Amino acid sequence: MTKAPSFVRFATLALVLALLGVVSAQSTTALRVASTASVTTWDPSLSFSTEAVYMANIYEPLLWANATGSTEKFTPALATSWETSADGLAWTFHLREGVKFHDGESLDADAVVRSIDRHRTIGGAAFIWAPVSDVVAVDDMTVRFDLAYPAPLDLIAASLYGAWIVSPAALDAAEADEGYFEAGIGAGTGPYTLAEYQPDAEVVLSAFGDYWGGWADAGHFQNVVVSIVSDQVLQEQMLLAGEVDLALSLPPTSYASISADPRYAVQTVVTPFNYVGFLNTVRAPLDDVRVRQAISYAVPYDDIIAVGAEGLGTQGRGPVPQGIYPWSEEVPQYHQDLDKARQLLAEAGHEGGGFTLRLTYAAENAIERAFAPVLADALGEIGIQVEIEPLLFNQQWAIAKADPAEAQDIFLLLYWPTYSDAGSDNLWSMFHSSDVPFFNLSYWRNSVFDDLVDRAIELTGTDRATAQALYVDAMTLLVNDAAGLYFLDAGAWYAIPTYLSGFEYNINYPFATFFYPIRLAN
Amino acid sequence: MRRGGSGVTGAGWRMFVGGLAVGHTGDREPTGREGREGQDDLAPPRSTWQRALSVLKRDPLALFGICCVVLLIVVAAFAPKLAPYPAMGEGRSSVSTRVSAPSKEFVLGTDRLGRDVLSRIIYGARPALIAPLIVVLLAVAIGAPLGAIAGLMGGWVDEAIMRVCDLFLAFPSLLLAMAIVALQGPSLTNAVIALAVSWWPWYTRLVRGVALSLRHQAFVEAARALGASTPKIMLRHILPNSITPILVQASLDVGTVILATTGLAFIGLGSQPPAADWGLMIEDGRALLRTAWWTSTFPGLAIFLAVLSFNLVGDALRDLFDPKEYR
Repeated sequence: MTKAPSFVRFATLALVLALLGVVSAQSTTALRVASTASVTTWDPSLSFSTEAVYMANIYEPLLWANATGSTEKFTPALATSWETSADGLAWTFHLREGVKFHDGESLDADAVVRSIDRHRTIGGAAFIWAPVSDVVAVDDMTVRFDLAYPAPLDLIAASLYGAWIVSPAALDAAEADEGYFEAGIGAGTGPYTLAEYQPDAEVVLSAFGDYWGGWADAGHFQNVVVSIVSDQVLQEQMLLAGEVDLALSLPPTSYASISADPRYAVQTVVTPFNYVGFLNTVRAPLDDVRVRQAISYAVPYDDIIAVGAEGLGTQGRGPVPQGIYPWSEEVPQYHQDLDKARQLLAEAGHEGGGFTLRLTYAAENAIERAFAPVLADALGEIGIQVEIEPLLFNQQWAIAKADPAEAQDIFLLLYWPTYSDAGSDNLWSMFHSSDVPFFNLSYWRNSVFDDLVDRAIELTGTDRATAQALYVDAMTLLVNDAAGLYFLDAGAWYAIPTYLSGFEYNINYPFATFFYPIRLAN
Repeated sequence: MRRGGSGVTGAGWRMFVGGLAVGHTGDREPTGREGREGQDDLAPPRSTWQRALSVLKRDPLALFGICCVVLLIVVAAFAPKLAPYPAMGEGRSSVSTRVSAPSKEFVLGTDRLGRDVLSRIIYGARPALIAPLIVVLLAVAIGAPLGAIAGLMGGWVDEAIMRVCDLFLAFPSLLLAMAIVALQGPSLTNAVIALAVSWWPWYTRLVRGVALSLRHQAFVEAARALGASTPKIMLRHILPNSITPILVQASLDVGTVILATTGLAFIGLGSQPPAADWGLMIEDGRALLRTAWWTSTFPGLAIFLAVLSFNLVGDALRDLFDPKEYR
């Protein structure tokens, strides 16, 4: 073999491969996706983690909650209409006719009752059904939820966790064999069936022929091949090389360069991921509200957004993420003002700072890791030394829950609501008094706040406007008392190749991507 | 041998200085090779010094390695004086200058937190140098006496010690270190302890080999006949005679351990931010590789140079103590 032909051969091979890449990048049969989501369980009741990406395409709930900005709050899924009694204690759902499960069973009231009952008893997110005392099949196609106290059952029924409707045949099988779903069984009504699963490697979804939404319109993908890739940088490389059509987790640092690339339309979105710092309110010096306020004034909010989220985020207004009920623009914010911070410190008897605080964060969280030093430097400006202690989240949390008097001074936390009600979740979980700390890691106690939140939770189901007003009062009180630091509501971004259309991010389902609406453009 | 051995720690330095200062004498010879052959006929047995010189003459790479190691030591020792921005070297962020390309102001650019990459590399020389030295010293301190005991005593003591060694050697050292760090929590100190724990068996094996070859030598037998106790034989005969192989092995290991500590930092199990650590810097800049190559390229080069130079020094030491070189 001489040199020249081998070079020519190599060049031809490269060319052919490149062409193949271009052609396969636009194949109509399969949508190729890279996602970080590994599967912790295929059981639709136990699911409470990243597998939601797949679940949301295999299963359906009674209702879907709509993305921010929609006129209607909900889209009917397996329920076509629903009503609530005047006292908010009975919710009735009318089911969609002619819906088939993947295993051929038909949807009826009994399937709904059995699914919800299973979620309520063994579910990972069973607590969302706490207000429900009973689920009753009124007739073949009507289900009534009886509540012990008023609650926003429409939001609960639209939850990403613990609200899927499952085939009765599969429920029978799961009763006989606990691990029935784990072999990779999907038994929902959604547009895609679970065709193949290789743990931590690949999930293949195939079109379900009898899907009630139908496949008549052209352009839906018949198959979705999801490669599980935990590394964002690798996902980016796969996207740029045309190995996948969609990469669901791209590194924030690549935002600018990919935005400038004409092959992609970049969508920036608001997520419900909220970064909070808990200040230890039971121990000096943070038991003094003036010291806490001083710290709140010293936080470099803009720098944190720049460094932590590459500018894709907004400063938090309390612990409720933007775009999620009961977020409100009326809730006050702190802005960095070092003079004011120093003055407050002096008033509290700490002229020039001179004390040290211990800050813990979850070492596995890249955003906290990026911004913790910036926060520490800013507190250094007002004379407060910060010892940064990265811990694995489970260790960080265990220390915080053990003994508040011995725990950290500042606890960084990423939090998001289980379903789209941050009042009963974020506000209650993070700041309502409790004797044993769980997520209220400021160890803050305020009976006025507790009362406002408790009343608002009860009213959310029946009188959302009043509930919202109560929540605003509660959050204002919370922010003024500076029990926590509200760094940012993280944004995110997606790079959609120009040959695809229909991708839509829904803040109510932050871990899900819906593949059915995605099509080839033209 | 003992005297020569214990003096060797300093020999590296002197070799370097000597190489520059005594260079002229070498020039007088027509070529190195001829000159050496000429010397062999007349000259008395050559001293360690002379051999060091000739190793360096034949091997400019070794000279390069020594220069780099010395440079590294100087940089680590005088980091606050040498770094253009000492505060940034220590971790002070500067969000307004984040991710700037190399320029007059920041010769090697800045990272995600706006810190000068050059200053960070200079400060990063400290953990890069000190951590591996401690790891190797600890490993020698644990491993060498155990090896001497095993080799000298033989029997069940030998068996017991060596089987424990095998147990440790059965796991890849980095994996073992990862497991230990995962249990103890990620920090540089824990990474150092973990690596030392997984590194000592190599020295046990090495010293045991020396001890086995020496235990029936005449001078050991003589010492025994004179009533010397086992610890005394170990201290006076076995360990001193092991210093050369240990030194060669250790200088080669320092390079490997630099890779291990920076590797642990890279995967989040070693140094923690805001500490300056080359592995941490590469990890920090990994996502920026496409857009801001300087954030991880330069710390990568620093690791490359450090590991390379320690390996070159190790090779040179091996040549220096190679019995074939004694003429």
